[in-house]
Amino acid sequence: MRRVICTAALIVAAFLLQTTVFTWIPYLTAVPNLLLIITFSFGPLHGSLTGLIAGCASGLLMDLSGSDVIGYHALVYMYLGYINGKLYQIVTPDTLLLPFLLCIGNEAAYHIYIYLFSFLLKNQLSFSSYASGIILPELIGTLLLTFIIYGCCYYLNKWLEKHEKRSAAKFV
Amino acid sequence: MNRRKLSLTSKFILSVLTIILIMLIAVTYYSPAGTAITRTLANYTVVPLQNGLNRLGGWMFGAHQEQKNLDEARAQIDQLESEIAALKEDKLKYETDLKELEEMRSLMEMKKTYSQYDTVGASVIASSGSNWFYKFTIDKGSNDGLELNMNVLSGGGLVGYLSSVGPDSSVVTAIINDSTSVSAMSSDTKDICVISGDLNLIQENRLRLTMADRDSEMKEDSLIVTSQISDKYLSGIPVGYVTEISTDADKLSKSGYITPVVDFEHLGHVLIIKAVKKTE
Repeated sequence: MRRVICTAALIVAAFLLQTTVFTWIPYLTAVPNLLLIITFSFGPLHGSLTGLIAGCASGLLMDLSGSDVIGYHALVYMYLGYINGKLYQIVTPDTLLLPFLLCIGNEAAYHIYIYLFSFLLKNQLSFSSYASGIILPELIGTLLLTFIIYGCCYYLNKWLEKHEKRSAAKFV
Repeated sequence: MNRRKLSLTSKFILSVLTIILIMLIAVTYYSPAGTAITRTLANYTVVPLQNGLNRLGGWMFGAHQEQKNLDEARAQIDQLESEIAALKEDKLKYETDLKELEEMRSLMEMKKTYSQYDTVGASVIASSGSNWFYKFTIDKGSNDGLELNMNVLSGGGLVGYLSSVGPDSSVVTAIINDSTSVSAMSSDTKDICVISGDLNLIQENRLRLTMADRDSEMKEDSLIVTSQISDKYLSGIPVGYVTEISTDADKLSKSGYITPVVDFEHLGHVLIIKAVKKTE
């Protein structure tokens, strides 16, 4: 229960930051994708189920605020959360390299999905200009913030696990 | 729960949610009015937070300006008062001209121009959160009389239309989106053309102008406004100024670029026209 509330609060906070606060920053061409960071952070930390639910929730929030079609972002975020969740107990989440690689991989997957379904199908083929104009600035911004947000998720997860272990121990 | 059971549960939930989401995509794709439900959901959950944040941000960034010098303020008040007096005189002059114009228009039975419609102002409270789409949320909705597809203006130019309306908030889709296009015309020569958004061009503050007749007399610095044959936009709304125009390689049409009137980087307040274009 505590985990659900904390995760939900984190997702809502990231969404608000991404849609309101970051737009006030001048000279920022591309808003970093905080919800994506949260999606790929929860998977390796707590499993596929957490990853996919966090992804679905983040994607739905994105859809509610800026998409003609509900479910579009939710679908891709959910699958990214699920796939990243497969890394749970395979990879140790302690290293700094992990969020770095996760960020690049997930950003690439997300952008290819959007490009494929929103632009390629409409025969707008100038991928290189999209790459330099949108994907690259967003990737750099998101990479920089990955370490902070991933760190938040990591320590939040540690704190929650400590409480869960303690309450589990009470039943013994 | 052991690992195998957990992995089966997550697979099951994944499949169920996938089906639900695909159905949602289909429903909202074929019926944009379906977004009203989700807009209502967002309205009561997220929008109050966004509103609050905007007010906080406005207060924080505005607070430092209160240290203005009192004399500077007084001098400005005097200057403004004389400006207001001059403007009041002009206003009286224009009112009589406007009456005459309205009479002549009704005599000619011309269609209404957009300036005669009711309008309502709103503030931009949030962006879409994605860098691929230019949509933003405003703080007015159906409770303020807004409906789907109403036109949105800012600074005298066309911004876009309402793509989703909730009780107290709505989402505006901007014309600079890659997929939107506006049926437009040159305000002086009335030549029809199409203005389309392009994600790459908007970084250079340009929109693409296409499908202009090869004999059209559009030239640089012509004002482009929305045309009468547009199915979504009321006619006569300024879109932008032509920056270059040339005949296409196939010699059948002309195309070029325009600079939009609206500064999409700094959208703070918008005006919504409370009339939806009726296509018979």
